[in-house]
Amino acid sequence: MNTRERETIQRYRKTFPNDTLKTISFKTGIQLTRVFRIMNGKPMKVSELEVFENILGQRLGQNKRIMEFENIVKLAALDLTVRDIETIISYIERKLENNKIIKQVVTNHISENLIA
Amino acid sequence: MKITSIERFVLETIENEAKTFKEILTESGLQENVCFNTLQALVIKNIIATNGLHYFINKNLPREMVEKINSNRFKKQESMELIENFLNTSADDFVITKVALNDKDQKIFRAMLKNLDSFVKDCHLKTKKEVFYKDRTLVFWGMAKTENIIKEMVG
Repeated sequence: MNTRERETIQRYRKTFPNDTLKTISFKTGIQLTRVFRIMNGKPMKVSELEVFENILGQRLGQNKRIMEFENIVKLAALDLTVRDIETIISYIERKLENNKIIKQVVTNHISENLIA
Repeated sequence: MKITSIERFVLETIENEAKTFKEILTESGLQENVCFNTLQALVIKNIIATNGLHYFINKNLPREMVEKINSNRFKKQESMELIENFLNTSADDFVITKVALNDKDQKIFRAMLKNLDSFVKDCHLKTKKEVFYKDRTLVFWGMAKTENIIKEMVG
């Protein structure tokens, strides 16, 4: 495994510390046994490296958006009317409630195998 | 007490009948576990009841609860959610326009909307037993003075 591959795997483990091998296999589309080998230092194919780097890139993008969201909420609290704030709260609450029902679906179907 | 839009879908699927899980699942078009979780949430909220096989709307709901669930505030939030998702899925079919209508044209247009309303209600009564909930067509209409909208937006 070269330096870039090693660093990518390290960044992945840091970003997703609780991901099991099965979860990594599910996320990347790479076979479970192959994931095991990669996590234990076997060289990756170019396509496999790209998959890991894409996932990390998306997560970085998500983190930026989360920071933007937090900043804008602070601005909104200072600037908007109570009525507008209530509308936004209701909107987010509805999204969260719908998400709860849908996410319960997903977590019920992923069985956890912890990384050793 | 408020209900989510998904809970509303399930309630509207059940309507005034007693339906099995399979019937609700088929007719609502929801994914199996989403349907199951929603039914559980409605049972916990005591809005629907079950005899183990069939689900039905609780006829003994306190009036205040029914009024709250159907309050204008929550209906407005659900409407906004429906329109948002309509735009996400069928934006090309959405028409919104600021039209110059004189008083006469406004009267004509209101009469047309009233006819449309009657037509839609008649169609619904006629065919609601034949058409599954998920196959129903979402329609919406309305008109308002642009000035009022601007005032609302700008304050």
